[in-house]
Order: sequence, then structure tokens, then C-alpha cells
Amino acid sequence: MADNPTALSSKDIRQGPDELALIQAARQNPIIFGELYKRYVNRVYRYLYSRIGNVHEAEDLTAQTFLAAFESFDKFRQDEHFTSWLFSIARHKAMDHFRRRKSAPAIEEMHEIPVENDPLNAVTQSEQAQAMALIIQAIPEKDCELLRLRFLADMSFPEIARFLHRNESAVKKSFYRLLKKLHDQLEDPNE
Amino acid sequence: MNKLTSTPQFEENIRSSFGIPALRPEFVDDLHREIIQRAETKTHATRPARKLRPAWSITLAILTLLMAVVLIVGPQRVYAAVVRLLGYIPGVGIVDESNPIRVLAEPVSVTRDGITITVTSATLTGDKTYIDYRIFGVPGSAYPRSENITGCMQTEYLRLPDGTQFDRENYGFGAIPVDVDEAIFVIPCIMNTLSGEVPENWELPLRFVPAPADLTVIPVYEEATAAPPSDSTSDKDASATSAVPLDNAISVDKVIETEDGYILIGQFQPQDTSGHWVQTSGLLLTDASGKIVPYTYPNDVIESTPMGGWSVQFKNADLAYPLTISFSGIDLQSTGAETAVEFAFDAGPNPQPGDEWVLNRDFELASYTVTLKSIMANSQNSYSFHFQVDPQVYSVAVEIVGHTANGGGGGGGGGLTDGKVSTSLSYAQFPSGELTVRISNPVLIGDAYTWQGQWSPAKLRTDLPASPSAQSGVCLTIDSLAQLKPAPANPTSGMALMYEQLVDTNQWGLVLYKLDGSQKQVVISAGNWGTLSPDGSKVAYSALDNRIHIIDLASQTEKIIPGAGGFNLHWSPDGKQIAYVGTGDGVINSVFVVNTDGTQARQISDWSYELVAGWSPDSAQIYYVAPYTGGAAWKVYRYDLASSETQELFTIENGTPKALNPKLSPDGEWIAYRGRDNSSLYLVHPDGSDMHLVLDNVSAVGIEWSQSGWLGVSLQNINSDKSTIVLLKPDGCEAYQLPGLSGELEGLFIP
Repeated sequence: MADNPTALSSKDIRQGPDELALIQAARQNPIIFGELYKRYVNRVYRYLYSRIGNVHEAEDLTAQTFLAAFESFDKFRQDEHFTSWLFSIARHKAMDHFRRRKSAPAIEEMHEIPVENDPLNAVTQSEQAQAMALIIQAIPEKDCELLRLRFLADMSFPEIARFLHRNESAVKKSFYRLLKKLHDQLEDPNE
Repeated sequence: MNKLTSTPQFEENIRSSFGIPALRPEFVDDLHREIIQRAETKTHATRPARKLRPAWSITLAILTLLMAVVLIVGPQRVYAAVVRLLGYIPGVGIVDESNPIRVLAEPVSVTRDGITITVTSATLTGDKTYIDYRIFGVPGSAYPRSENITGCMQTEYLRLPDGTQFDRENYGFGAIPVDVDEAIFVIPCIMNTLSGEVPENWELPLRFVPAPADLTVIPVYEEATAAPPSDSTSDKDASATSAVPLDNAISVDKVIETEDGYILIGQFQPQDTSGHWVQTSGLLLTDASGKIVPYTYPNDVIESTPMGGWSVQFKNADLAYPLTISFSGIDLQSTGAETAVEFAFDAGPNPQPGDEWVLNRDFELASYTVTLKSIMANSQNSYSFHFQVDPQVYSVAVEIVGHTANGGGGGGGGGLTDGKVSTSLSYAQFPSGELTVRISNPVLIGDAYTWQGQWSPAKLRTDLPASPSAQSGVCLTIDSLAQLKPAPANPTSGMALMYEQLVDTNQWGLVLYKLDGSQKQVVISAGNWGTLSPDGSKVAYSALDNRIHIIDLASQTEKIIPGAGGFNLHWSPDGKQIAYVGTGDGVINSVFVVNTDGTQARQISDWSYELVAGWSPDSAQIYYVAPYTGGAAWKVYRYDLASSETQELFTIENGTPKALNPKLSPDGEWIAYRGRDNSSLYLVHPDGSDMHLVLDNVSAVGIEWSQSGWLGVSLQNINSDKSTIVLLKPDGCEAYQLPGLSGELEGLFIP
């Protein structure tokens, strides 16, 4: 990632890398929002790409998400809930995108859309990952969303619970049951 | 697999199965640039119009293969007025004038359960409806504190008499038909509040009337593009046949003649070569004499500034035309991920934040030397990698093989910053044990470029003063700041408490100095929101665990105030109490006061997001401010400790919506605060009278008074975490610089 052209002022990161302090600092100095952006851009992009399946459109929605978040950051007050707030915006952007297209791509389409022929974007998958991809294609969307939030958006369980409006322990149970199911299917594809 | 665990490899398989292509660095940089530009527009911080970034200066000095390609854009550009359809209304923006402009007939307020929503103004144009409103009185308890609940996310809308609903579109609403002169402004719920905690479904009836004849609507001129100049240096692509040269990177698209100068809106679209991208600096504006033209970012034209565009506002006085608009950039070229080295690194079984491994190990990448100086484990399960690289190298990519990072930052600089490059990678869990680190894709520093465009007004204006006139009461401007002399021996006998990065560490802490920068004493290496006691003998600060500590500077003893936690600390003049902003049950950032021995801790306000301004000289009253939602304005209050009564004093309308940082002078005469441009500083009496500008657009951040009436202000330096510290007496504008100090000012003691 390129150098941040605007270094952070001393008052802006009160408690080093602590995200809560970063959010509070960003509220005082909008430029610090750039640091939040750097922390989250990869996660938001991965989450959106997994839903959209197209690099250009995922980038476009990522940009829309952060710009929308930046413009409405004034009104954001739940400092501990920044992750779920940001991904709520991302999810809304994805839903708007599908509404405009009047159709949602099937999950399997995501894996068929070609990647640009650029070594920086080259994606290599192990055989196991490819096998896993086939299994994931067949699971219900709500389970797939759980995997996206955990493995692509890198959310913690409390964050996922908040995002999905569910109880944290219920989310954990669902998640680990899902993992076991995937594991079992990987071991025995006939299951 | 245990039902509650899975192996990292299994989880990595799941992650990989989604087949997410890597995020393009060019996209990340472009979007980051867009965000920073919007942020700078909001802060009105002065960009490097006065000087190039130090990094670029170094680059120009050290790079021997420098090639500045100056692309002169359109010296024969004409500045043509097209049919006037667009107008500019200060504070509203660029509007469509195809229909008569209408405004709100009168402000409308509704109060329910102590919360007041007021629509203060509206502007209706041919293409948009702008509604300005503010909310006051939302208690902190209305905001969610539970992890499982999110607050209101619904946005407001307009409802016409026929039931048509206009949803918000970016900065406004759709155009209301000319034959409709009323609407209901509906706020389904107050943003982020919990359902049922505060009144919902607010409806404010609005009535519109023709704009008064004296409404200021300034013409917006759209620039017409001339044919490309015959001597322009163009790109090597000979296939270009369009009227606009391929190398025409800078354009001025719109011009607005303001009362004291101009607003220019344009675009900057440098060409990219495949595999290369250009990192650019901010806009530099100079006049024909070479003088750097200071400018600000006009907030109200953001919506009219295209993506990747720019907009500036400057004063006309003393300028020689044409103006030159410059962007500088460095070509960066990726060598590819296949240019890589790997090495083994043992992080141990249980790496902890703060662990550091000093390696000083050299690697050769694409025939360039990259030295990995150290690796450090940080919080958020992250590692940071610190390199010293060849001057031709800008950055390198780092990964821990087999572990997918979920975030990271930094990474650039290299030959532009004395060869230092740092990259951090964060993970869901700390990679531990024997790891393989892969360093790859050195990005190389290529040629430096400068793009320049020139602009002149079509005709010289006779309505503007030739020279800038001094504004009464203003002690410092950008121009006069450069002429400030260092402070004399007295008052440099005083002390300043600074918040700054500690030498040779990544930590920030509180440091005490004499005003000339001597006798440095680190007070605390991990604390912030420091404040000096009135007699200069103690420092109170907020520790990382949010508890309030007091350090006696002479004995170096430290104590914790029991039961008190928060920030924005203010000593009472008698040194016996501390007012602060705390967060408690159902409270978000309200004002508390406590005796320094921990007794009689009590909450004195409940508006949420308040800030303490200071104490009355007799320690009997506390002044604080509470914001309208979103910081549209700030109410100033005075709380009497004896009677526990609160009195509303007045409203600050021109303060920044961000960190107002109000500070009451020890004599109780003035409240200093940061202006709406997030850069200026104002003074006002506690009764709201005699509000005036003192520091004009100087990036004021930290504000501290001394007992003897000196006002210290730290001014944020552009693209730096260092500050310029000034000291002044507002009455008479006696002002000095404190060149020995560079942190952020947290306390000032001058006997």
C-alpha cells in the first residue's frame, strides 16, 4: 500500500493501534479516517467480491462503501460497533447493486468469472481449496454468509452476532456446526 | 476435528476456496487519495501550497535520474462564459438556476420529550432541495450500549402534499416541483438511537417562498477547452486525434468569482502506463511571480467536484496572473510477485504484543538491497516489519506464508523517506512458531513528474482590493505566521506539557519542557490527555485503562484517583478538583467532577459528547459545551457546584463540528475554540459577546492558557505528526513562536 501522504498527528492516535482510540481520533481529525480505511479496505473488498464475483464491481462497491461511511461518520456514535456498521453499509451497497441488476449471481458464478490476467491478481488454489469451493457452492446462503463474515470480513463472533442481530453463542454454535459439516463433506464427499 | 475448534489449515482452505483476487494497490491508493482529499476539505487544512512535502524535496535532491516532464496545458485556454444555468450560493453550493430559487419561509422547530429538532433553512433549486436541520437534547442513554443491538439507520425524507416521497440523495433531496410550496420533512428516527428510547417519526411542516432579492447567487462559469497548444509535450501515443491532448492532465472546469477571489473546480487525470502508477502530491498554486498562493477547500462545492477532481478557493489580492496549478508525482513500478525471497523466522510458541526481533538481515531483490531491520509483534495480532531499503526502492510486499492477513498498513516510502519502509500485517490469530516470511515485489521509484496547468481570469476584476486588508483582532494568518520570531527569555522560563512520540520508540507519551525546549522530562510514556495543575507542580493524565492519574513532578510519586475514569481533564484553579469527560452507565461522554482525593465524584451533565471548557476563577463553576447532533452548533453551559444548577449561556454557531477544544482563560474572560474550518481559532466572552477571529486558517489544534494570560496554540504541520507552537497575548497580538517544541500542547505554565 502506498505511503500515507498525511502522517498522523500526535493527538490523533491516543492509544497507539487501539481501534477505539483510532475511531475517536478520526472523529476529531477526519484525515485519520484514512487509517481506518487502510485497516478495513481489504476485508470489505473480500467480502464484497465474494458476493459480487467481479473485481471491477467489487472495487466500485468498496469505494462506495468507504465514501458513504466517511460522509456519514459524523453521525456514527457507536464506537465499539464500527465493524458491523461499516459492513452494514457494504451489505446495503451489495443489495442495491443486485436490485439494479434485477438478478443476483448464483454462487457458482463467482468461481467462473475470470480474473484479470495480471500476476498481481493471480489466484492459485490448492486442490483442497477447490474441493471446498464446490462444497460451499451447495450450502444455504445464510451459511455462506457466515463463512464470508468470519473468513473474508474477519469478524469476531460478537461482531458477527451484532451484524446478524443474533445471539453470540448461537452464532458460535452455528459456525462450528457448519465447519464440522464442511469438514465431514470434505472427508467423505458422498455424505 | 473437535466440535469447537478447527485447524488453521482447514480454515485457510475455506478462505482460499472463495478465490478472492488480491486487491490492486492502485485502487487502494486512488481511493485513499479520494478519502484524504475529502477529509482535507472538511478540515480545511492547508495543503503543501507553501512548500513541497519534505519527501518530495528529498527526492528532488537525491535522485540523479530525475526527469521533470512539464506538460504545459493550454496557454491559449480561453475562459468562456457559457449560458448561465448554474449559480453558486455560499454555504449551499452550485445550484441549478433554471427555476426560480426558493427558500424556507421560516425555521420550524418541534420539541418532544426534551429533544428539539429544528429545520433552520432550506434552498430549493432547479435540480435539488437542500435542507439544513439540527437536533439537540438526545441523552446518552438513547444510544445503544449492548453488543447485540444497533441503532436507527433510517434516513430522513421529504413528503409532498400528494404523498410523493423524496429520499435523500447524497447532500440533498430531489427538486420539488415549482408549483409545490410545502412539504413535510420526516425523520423516521434519530440516527443511531435505540428504538423506543426517544421519540420517533418526527414530522416538520415546511413552507417555501421565493428567495429574497438580496440572496447571493454568484455566476458559475464553465471553462471552454481550447485546441491543444502546438508546443505541448504529448504522450508518445501517435494515434491520438481528439481535440484534447492525451497529456492534458489538468483542467479547470468551473470558475466562481467570490467576493474576495475565486473558486476553481477542475480535474487532474494523469495517464497511467500498464504496470506503473503515479503517487501524486497535493495541489500547489503559484502566481506569475512565483509566490505560493494560499488556498482553502470550499466545503460547499464537494458535490460538484468530480471524482478525482480538485477544488480550491483563494483570495485575489496581490496576485499576478496567470496562476500555475501544479501536481507532482513519482512514477512507481511493480516488479512482480515472482521477485521474491523467503526466510525462516521463529516467532516462538506464544508471541505477545511488544515482542521484538532484531534481525538486520540483508536480502537481494531484483538486484536491490533490502535490509530487514526488525520484526515487532503488536496488538490486534499484528506483526510490523521494519526495513531499510535501497534508495531506488519504494516498497516491498511481505507475507507470512500459509497465513492470510486480514489487514495491514504502511508500506511505502523507501527511497523517498531516507530508505525506511514499514509494513504491518494483522491476523485473526497470531501466527506463531516457525514461520516462513516472504518478501517480494519490490516497487521501484521511477521518474519524477510535474504536471502544470495555467489559468487566468478572462478579465481583471475591478471590484476586488489590490492588497489584502488586515482584519481587526486577527493576530496571526498563514502569511504572518512565517514571520514570527522566537519567544524572548521571558516567558520561556515557563513550562509546556507536550504529547509527542517518544524518541526511538513507537510510543506516545507526555513530556515536560522548558518553553525553549530544554530540560526535557518524560512524565509518562503511556498516557494522554495530560494537564498541568495551576501551580505547575503536578500533571493529571488519562492512562490507557482510562483511569485518571496524578503525578507529583517533584517527588515523582503517582496516584490514581479512585472511581474516576475519562479524558479532557481540567484542574480547578484551587487545585482540589478535576472536571473531566467520562463514560458511565447509559452515559456517553458527559461531564463529571471529582476531588483529587477521589471523593465526591459526580456527574454534572447528560447531553452526551460534551467537552469541558474550564473553571471560573473561584473554582465555584464549571463551563462546558454540548453539541447539537452532528456538531452543527454547540451550546455553552455553566454549572454551579454549590447549587447544582445549570444555566444555558449561548450557542457557538461557527465552531468546528469535530473537536471544538474550548478553553476558558484562567481569568474567566475568554473562551477560545476552534472554528468551523477546523483550522482557525476564535475568542468569545462567556456571555457570548465579542466573538472574533484570532488565528486565521493556521491549523490550530491544541489550545492552552497560562495563569498569566498567555495563550499557547499548537498548529498541526502538514503531512507531519509535528506541530508549530505559538504563544500570544490576544489583546495587542504580541506573538512568538516556540521553536524548541514540536509536539501537541497539553499544558502551559508561565509564572
